[in-house]
Amino acid sequence: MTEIEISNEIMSIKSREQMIRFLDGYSADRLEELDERKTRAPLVKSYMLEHACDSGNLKTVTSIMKYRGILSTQIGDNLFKIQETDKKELFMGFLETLTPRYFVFYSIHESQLVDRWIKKVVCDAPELDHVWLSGLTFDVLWNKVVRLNNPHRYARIMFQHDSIYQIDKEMEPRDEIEEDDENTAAGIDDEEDTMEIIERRASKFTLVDKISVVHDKLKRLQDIYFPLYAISQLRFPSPVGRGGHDFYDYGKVTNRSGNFRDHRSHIIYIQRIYDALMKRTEEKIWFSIEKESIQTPGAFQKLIGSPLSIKFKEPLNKETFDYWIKSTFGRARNRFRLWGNPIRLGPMKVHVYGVDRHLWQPIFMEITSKHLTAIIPKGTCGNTVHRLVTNIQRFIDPAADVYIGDMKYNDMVDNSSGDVKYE
Amino acid sequence: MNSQIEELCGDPLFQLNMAIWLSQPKPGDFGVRPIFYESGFRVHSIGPRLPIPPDIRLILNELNIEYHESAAPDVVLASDNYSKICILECKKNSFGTGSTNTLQAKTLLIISGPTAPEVLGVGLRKKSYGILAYLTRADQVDALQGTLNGLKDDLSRINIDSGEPGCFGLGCDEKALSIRYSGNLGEAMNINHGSPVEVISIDDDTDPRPLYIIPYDPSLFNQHSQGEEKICRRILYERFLGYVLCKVGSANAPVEIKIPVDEILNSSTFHLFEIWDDRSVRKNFKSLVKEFMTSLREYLGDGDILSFETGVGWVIKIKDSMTHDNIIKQIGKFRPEGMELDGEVMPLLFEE
Repeated sequence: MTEIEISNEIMSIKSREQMIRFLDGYSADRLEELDERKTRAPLVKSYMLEHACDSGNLKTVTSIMKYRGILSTQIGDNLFKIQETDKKELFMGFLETLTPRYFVFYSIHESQLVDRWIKKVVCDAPELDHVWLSGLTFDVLWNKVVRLNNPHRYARIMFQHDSIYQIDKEMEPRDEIEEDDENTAAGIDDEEDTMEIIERRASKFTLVDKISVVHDKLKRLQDIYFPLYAISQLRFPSPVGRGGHDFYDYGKVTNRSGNFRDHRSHIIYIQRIYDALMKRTEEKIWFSIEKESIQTPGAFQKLIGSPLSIKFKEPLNKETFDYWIKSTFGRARNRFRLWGNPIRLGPMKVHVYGVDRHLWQPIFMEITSKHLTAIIPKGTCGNTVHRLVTNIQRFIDPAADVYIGDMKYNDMVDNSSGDVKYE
Repeated sequence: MNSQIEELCGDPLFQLNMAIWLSQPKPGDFGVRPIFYESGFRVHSIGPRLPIPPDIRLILNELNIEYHESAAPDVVLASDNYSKICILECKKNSFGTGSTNTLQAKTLLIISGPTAPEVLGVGLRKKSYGILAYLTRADQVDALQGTLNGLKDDLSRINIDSGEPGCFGLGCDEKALSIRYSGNLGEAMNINHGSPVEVISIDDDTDPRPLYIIPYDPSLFNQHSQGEEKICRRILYERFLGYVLCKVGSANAPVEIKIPVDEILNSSTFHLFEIWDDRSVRKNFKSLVKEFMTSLREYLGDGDILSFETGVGWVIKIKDSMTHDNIIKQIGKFRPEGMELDGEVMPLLFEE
């Protein structure tokens, strides 16, 4: 299917019922094609998004999109059809608002097109961010996979760690390459002629095995080889047949099952866990000094909040530390999307009273070769924390220990997943 | 480096930020070891104005005893259920009798006594065990402890109960920054580590200071060493800059972004600015905003982009998205490090 044909399919849909029926049938067709190893059209892909903003300033989907030159046409309760207004005027997909804070965008365009499109939309809109699922979060979600499925079902986990800042004394720092590896399909090696020669730790591989086998071995393997903590994709097997739903660390979800409604149910489930995690994170981490309040006796000028602490498993060497600081704060476009003027306090210690330059919210950090401590002022979206943890695991230290206050980050994710009950 | 760290140990703003970090919930095996938090204490409030209750003032007045009617200690720490309250004051040096500091100490001793829960509004008198702790340089501890004991005895003689007085002394060697404390203080605050206890390890040629939660206190001008004044003012300016960048970055062009002076100050000080009751401090703070915004305006070049409007504050005018992108880039490249960071702060004569 060409992008025009896909756009026309999306254009023809006028209601929620039509969308569900269409995507359900479409998913079943793709699963059959996957079985025959002859896919004629792209898979259904979803992108979990967060409207990152304090509750008093929430905007509508229409106004967020309109400012970026994107047309949103309502076709049902909380459901919009999304169309570009450039020369091609392509219909890109459907956007559903699950809650005022969380959206999900469904598309059947090619990954190459829609991944870049959604990345640009998020990049241009400080009100929007991806949902960030760190390796530590995936570790907890993996336990859900174990509990939800027959141990004989097959699990699929992708691990991805790339020490892009790691350099040795004799190596020259290189220019940072823009992140574009989200589109690369797992296991498909089509880069033979152009593949970069990497002489730093870079691990990217997929593990497919029975759930019982992975469950039995994963923890031990992680302790032996740290990059196995950096889970970047996790499949939730489908309960209605083969295949499943592949969740990526930046909130993309590919439907490799034959059922769209099940795909959507899994997204809603993970969104509810993420929402609980965000509420817990913000409740615990937001730093502020509360003013005198008649309603809360004794709460005058009270300092509340807890720091975010990340301890690296192994100290960074001087060259790596310097390169990380330089490439993060020395250039506007950096992987961590941070801005700041580092205050140098030693060969391997800086303080940065900086800004999350995606959401344009403040964040204060102490970064050393051994740890990162951050203060998140009240109002800064909890997403900043989860993006930072995701990126630290992916690019700096896959096995870093993370704490929010004195609570381990993993425990907070675990407790958050426990908050999501049947209702 | 060691002499610089020793000097830092006597800096009141460093001490204040240390006191806050020592009370933060965090793991203790890296960064600052939070010995107050580990002992069950968290920050209750920062710089609260605490008046002595009338019945105690009446006794002091009738006996013609000099005292301050209220005091604003740097930090108040409290255990979970307020069973213990610790009034914490930061001081560079010890002091003898007859100074303003002595009158303040007398007041602090009274409000940290059995009356502490009443003064803080968290309960009735005698509900909590009260402590008055000074955080100072290690070499000042003995002299200061002597002064506090003397003042406590004076109050006992007129039957006024006071808090348990003690001192935490900040000192360093080549490997670590440590805190020493007396046995009575350790017992009162449930601190079970031996004294001195290491609270920050020191790496070679590295300044051990933690992130500054309270970035700057203009009332301390001339009390800082020159180097310390520079770094503290730079931290404040970095926070101003971050605030301006957040406002501009999150706006949608075309737009006029209004930045009231109070807003930038509140945002940069975790809203401490609005509770600071010292008018001259507030004026000094506003003067620093003017200094910073004027430098930023000069850096941006085009005077039409950033201007000051009486009654509104600073205004940034962005006419279209291209200008918006350019302003973000320029503000992002501004370096407060290049500003004059140790010049005298002149209070503003008018609200501007």
